[in-house]
Amino acid sequence: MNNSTRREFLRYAGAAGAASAFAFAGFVPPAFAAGAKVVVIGGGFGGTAAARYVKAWAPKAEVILIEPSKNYITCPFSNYVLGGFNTMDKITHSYDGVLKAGVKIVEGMATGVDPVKRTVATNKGLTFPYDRLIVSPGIDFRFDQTPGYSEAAAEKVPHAWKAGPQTILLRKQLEAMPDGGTVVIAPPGNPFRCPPGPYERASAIAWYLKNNKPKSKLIVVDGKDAFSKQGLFQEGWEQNYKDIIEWVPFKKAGKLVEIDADTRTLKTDFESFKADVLNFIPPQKAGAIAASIGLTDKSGWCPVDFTTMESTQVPNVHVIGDASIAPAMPKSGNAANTQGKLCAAAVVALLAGKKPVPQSTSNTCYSLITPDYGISVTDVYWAGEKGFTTVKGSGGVSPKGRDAEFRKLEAEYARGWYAGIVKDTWG
Amino acid sequence: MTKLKMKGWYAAVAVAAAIAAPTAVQADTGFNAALAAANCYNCHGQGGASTSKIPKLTETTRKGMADAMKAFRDGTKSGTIMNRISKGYDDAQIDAIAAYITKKR
Repeated sequence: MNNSTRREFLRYAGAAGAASAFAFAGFVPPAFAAGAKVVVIGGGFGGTAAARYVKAWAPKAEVILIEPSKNYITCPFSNYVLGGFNTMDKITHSYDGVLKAGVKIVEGMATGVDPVKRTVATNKGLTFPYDRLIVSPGIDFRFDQTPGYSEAAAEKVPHAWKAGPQTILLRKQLEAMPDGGTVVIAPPGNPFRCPPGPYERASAIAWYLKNNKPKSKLIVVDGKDAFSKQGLFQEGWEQNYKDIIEWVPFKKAGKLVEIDADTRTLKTDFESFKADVLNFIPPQKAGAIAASIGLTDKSGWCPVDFTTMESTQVPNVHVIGDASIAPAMPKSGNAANTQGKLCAAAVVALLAGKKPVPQSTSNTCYSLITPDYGISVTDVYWAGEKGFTTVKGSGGVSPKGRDAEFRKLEAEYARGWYAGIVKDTWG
Repeated sequence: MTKLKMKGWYAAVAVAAAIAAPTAVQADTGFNAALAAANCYNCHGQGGASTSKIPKLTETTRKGMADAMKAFRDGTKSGTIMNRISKGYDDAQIDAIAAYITKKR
């Protein structure tokens, strides 16, 4: 740290210290001296929430969000586009609300970070200094893990695991498929983005098939033997898609051996599945920028301190969302958002010269099995030494065996959750 | 600013914290009610102003909100997801969250 940076840091610490005397009860935003700089890389659920909440809780800090896209397309609710009961425009959100909240937005791609000088460079040749950097890069795919699969093959066998053109491609394939065709979804082993996602997707596509192509089948060829909200999904499938969905666990089909994108065939140790529409969800790792900054470990994900979400490998850099290693929180949009807020509170405290203490956080994930049949999983956590611990007796999945009215209410609340979190993040 | 003076700042903050503590909400554990409340907004809308079928948090009193949370938690009020969520918080935390969300009214 050079002298001028040190002087600046002390100035923040002093000013914030004075404010904090009044701030303990209601968490009144500390009055920063102008100039505290927080840079956020990635405008998804995590990064956008972090940027907004740093600005909300430290209004005098300069908060810069670096994001290449003009609009953000959410993965949550993109499965319903595949099912034909949602549209792309409804899952596409501008950053207008984020700008109005006082966050400066830099349209560009972060290309490099100098953790010693504390600067971020972008593809447009700009450099931004930071006191604290928050990295929320999401996921990238491990295209090298599956023989026959590649970025090019994804044009024939879409993953649709980042919402956008891939979602539209998979939807078009479903629309073009004849009645009586077979859809195969192949989810990866753990860990991966959105644990209930593949099964929610199976449900949404089965809804489309049932109502439009009822002679068709959907087979889930899984990379594991158990999955999120399994009992509830299977109860819902039994009631709604008994003749359509078949789930093949890892122990039955075995390991994925090869994908033939041209014939849409998926070969495993023990079986071969020929599909009319093949949706392969590849194994994943933290978004590429994370590795280039030195944030990832051997697993390809980013170890963090759970009180602050600060990297255990690069000081003053925080990692949130799917890219972070944050057991037992899932890699979900909601968890990214709440980690963004947890991180924002810690960053505000750190800039004020205070030591953050462990806090409570939470996750809520809804899935629709039909447009009128919703299920949920939720947890309240406390940040600890080894991860996030669920408060005993709290959280868990929706009760099994409930009536249609209960499921319908949760379907309404699923839509309410989406409206709420989108407004909280981008609105 | 010298290191000595810096120490002075921390001392001043520590004294201020000690004075503030008796009236502070959960000052001993430092429970951050603003952070917990922000997580409520994911479903209940910005500032609790839900625009969906999820109940608004802007039309209830501090006591009404705290009582509802405790009733969900203790099972005397039934819901879909709130029974599960409310069990994640103790009385003092619920009171702090309700106070924070309703403080501007």
